[in-house]
Amino acid sequence: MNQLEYNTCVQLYADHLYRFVFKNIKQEEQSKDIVQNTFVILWQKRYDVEMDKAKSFLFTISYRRMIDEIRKYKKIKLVDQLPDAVMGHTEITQTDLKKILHDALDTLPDIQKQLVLLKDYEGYNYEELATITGLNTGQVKINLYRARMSLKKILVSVESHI
Amino acid sequence: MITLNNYEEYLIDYLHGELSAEYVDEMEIFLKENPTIQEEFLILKETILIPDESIVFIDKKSMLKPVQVSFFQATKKYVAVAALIAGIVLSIFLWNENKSTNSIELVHTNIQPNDTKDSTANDTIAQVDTISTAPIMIQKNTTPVMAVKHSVIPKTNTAPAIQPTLHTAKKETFIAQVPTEKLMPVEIESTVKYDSEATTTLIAKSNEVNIEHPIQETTQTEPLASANTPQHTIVLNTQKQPRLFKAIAQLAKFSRNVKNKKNELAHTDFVVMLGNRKLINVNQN
Repeated sequence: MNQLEYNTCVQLYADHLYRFVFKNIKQEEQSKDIVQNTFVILWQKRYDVEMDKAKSFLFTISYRRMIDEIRKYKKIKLVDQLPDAVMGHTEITQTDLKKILHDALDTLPDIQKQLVLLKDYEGYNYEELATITGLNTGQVKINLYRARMSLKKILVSVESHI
Repeated sequence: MITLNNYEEYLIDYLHGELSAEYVDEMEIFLKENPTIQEEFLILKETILIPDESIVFIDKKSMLKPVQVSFFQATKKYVAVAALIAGIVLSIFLWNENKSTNSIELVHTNIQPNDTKDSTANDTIAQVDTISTAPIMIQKNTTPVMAVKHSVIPKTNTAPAIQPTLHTAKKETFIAQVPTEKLMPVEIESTVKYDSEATTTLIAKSNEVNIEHPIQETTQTEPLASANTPQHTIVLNTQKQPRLFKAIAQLAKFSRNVKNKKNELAHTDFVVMLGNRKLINVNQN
């Protein structure tokens, strides 16, 4: 990868990385740090990373940095209940649904949340998710399955409250 | 086979687009046959997150690296333009070079009367072969352009600038090694061609300056020597070709020592002029 390709990666993937990290840890500055740190590593290893592998490389590095950050600060708190603001609404708009879903996402275990974000935001397949997260494909599948079931359960619960 | 007991795993794979092709058709049939599962599938589809495009990394510039372009890459556009301009300028220069030969003039103002009768090509060879001074090595090629005699102008007091007596052309070629100021041999080849009564052409070439230019006379030149002294005046009206002038000057030095076939000095005095400035005046003893 040359300098031009590296810069292209910044333009193409910085938002994606930041979005993924920020959705996980909810900390703006830490998310920025992780993204910047990820690109520093890409720059250092640019001669070893082919352009077509760059995105996976970036997400893999970001994911690992993010896990370190989560372990360090334990900022993520499990939410067992939906936010009160959502409850009692008689009409759920698309915006509300989006918020409910993202709030529901925060109730998931970290690994499930991360896999859902990577799957839905970036469209990675099971094998790619396994590469990024260091899990095997079976673990990826089961975690995604559990995540979907949990999210479905929350959505059904919200609808039942209306 | 997809059943109500095992459908969930297949359904999630189907949702994720990861269901193998052999099960896709079966899953679609299964969903049609089971409306409740179809409804469950629609709820699962709603769990798919849509990226929040409002979340962006603002300071991308801080991570960009300045692209280092090599000097050649950075300037190749300018180099190409410069080369094009240089080509045009060179073409114009060369075109002007060809034209500028018209501004260099060789004028025979007087030629010894004795030469009038016998100045043939063979005579010229004899003259060259009888060089008396200076370490000059001479080859002589005389190539009559047409089988005519060298033009010889009778001595006249009025001394018209050019009066070739022949109406046809003759070409004389001298190849001589002449000591330069640094005593380096310079080979000079000159060709004098009389095309008509009004035109004289000198082609001078030297191995040092590699010159071969026609020189046409046009100007009126006053005799610079007495009526009894044959005189060749080379008038250079341009300063564009100093090296050519040098060659002509060398030619003049050489020619003053040429003797005729009777072993007499040809009495040719050469004056090389650059405009009104006298570059060299070689007087015959």
